[in-house]
Amino acid sequence: MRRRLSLRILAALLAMTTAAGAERRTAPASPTDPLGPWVPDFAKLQSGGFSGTFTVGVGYAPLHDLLNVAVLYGYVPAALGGSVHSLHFTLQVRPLSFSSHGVRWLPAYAGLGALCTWGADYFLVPPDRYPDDYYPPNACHASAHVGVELQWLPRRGLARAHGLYAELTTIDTLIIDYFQNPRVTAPADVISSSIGYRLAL
Amino acid sequence: MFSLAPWLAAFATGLSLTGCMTPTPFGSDVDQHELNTTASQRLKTPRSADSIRFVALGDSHDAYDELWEAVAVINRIADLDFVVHAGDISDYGLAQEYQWSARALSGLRVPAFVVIGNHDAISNGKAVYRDLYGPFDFSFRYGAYKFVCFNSNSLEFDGGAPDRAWLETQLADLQGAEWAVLVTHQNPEAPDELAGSEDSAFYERLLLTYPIALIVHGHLDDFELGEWHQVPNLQLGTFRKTHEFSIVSLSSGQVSEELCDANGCLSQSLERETSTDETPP
Repeated sequence: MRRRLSLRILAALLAMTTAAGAERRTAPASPTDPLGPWVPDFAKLQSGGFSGTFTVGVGYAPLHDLLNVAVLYGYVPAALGGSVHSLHFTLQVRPLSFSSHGVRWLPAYAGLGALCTWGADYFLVPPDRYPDDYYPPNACHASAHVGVELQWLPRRGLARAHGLYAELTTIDTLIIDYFQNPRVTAPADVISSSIGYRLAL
Repeated sequence: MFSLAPWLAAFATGLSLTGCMTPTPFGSDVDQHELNTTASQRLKTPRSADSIRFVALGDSHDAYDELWEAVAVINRIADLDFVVHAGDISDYGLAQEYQWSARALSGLRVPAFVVIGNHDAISNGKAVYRDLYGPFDFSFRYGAYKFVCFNSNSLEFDGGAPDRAWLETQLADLQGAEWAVLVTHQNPEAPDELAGSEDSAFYERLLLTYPIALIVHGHLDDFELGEWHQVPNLQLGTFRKTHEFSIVSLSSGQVSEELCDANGCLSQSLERETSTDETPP
């Protein structure tokens, strides 16, 4: 029974991936990279997701947007628990997409990243005043996220897509603590939601 | 046709579960403030001016559930006056880590005081501690004892800790108390310190100058009961590893201690000639 269910799920996943590929192939023809290889493929504005209250980012979308590589700069003002500056480097896999009538829907994507900040008490290698192995690095944490995105595909103009997305993000130390301490921790403690706008060029 | 509804529903559920858009894990935003001040306000009048009983533990780090379980055990201890935590209530000094420890300790039926540890002082931890617990150095009088709780993390404060002038002032004026009890994170006898700071020599002078009944400290792995210049020096051990805490009784300047975990307590007197025996918590 369980094996049959697994086969059905596998078949469904294959069908979805094939459908997504078909969507890409049948998308309106456009130059692969009209602005040249050095101009980022997209820009983002975001709030939340552990990246900052106000976050801007740029990135590239190789393999026809199957992958997204991005760097986001985020800022949290002092009044909201800062002042914190951070950089979030992310790699995203976007295997599923469905297009219809100028709208593209990405029902699920996922990614990993490194969330970094800086300041007097942050370090990748502890300063010399500390004994060896006194602290692990605390300036960067591994992150993981999942998200959904809805894009509007304009017929003309520089923009290839205007996207609205929402994501759930966590970082290494918090999610580990969550699983190790189920009595004291809660999902809301370790997951941060975000909403954002993505402009594809 | 791929239905959108389940995805939307799942995502909406996810968003409502999170309940917030935490902008950063590196911030100092906390939902409680000045907990050490609150704890001092919650102190009750001592049953006896001369005899007090408190729990001491340290270095709980990321053992939040075990801390929560210890709180349940501590709440069953009779005639307990308060709890002191000798620091390292977090691993990375993150606000969320602080709040988990505070959440675990919030179940205590007696007041809890928390001293800053070295792990609490990295990342944005200094700002978080100030907001959540208050000043790095604080004191309170209880019966015949003045508890002087201070920041001894010299490396993390670039030599700014300990605040020697503050410590001297606190010990020079015991505000009517007969004895002082020092509570801190580093071992005063052998602290991790900046080269040339000679913190240990400073602490040694304090011991020889002022009526100090007891030193309580954390930072080091093992539980140890010792003396330094005839002053009992209680090293609490790392709670994260041992899940143990100490019940300390002070009476007329004399100290006795019970090492406890979830299963019970082992009594150990700081007067060496006293024998050891098992007692229930």
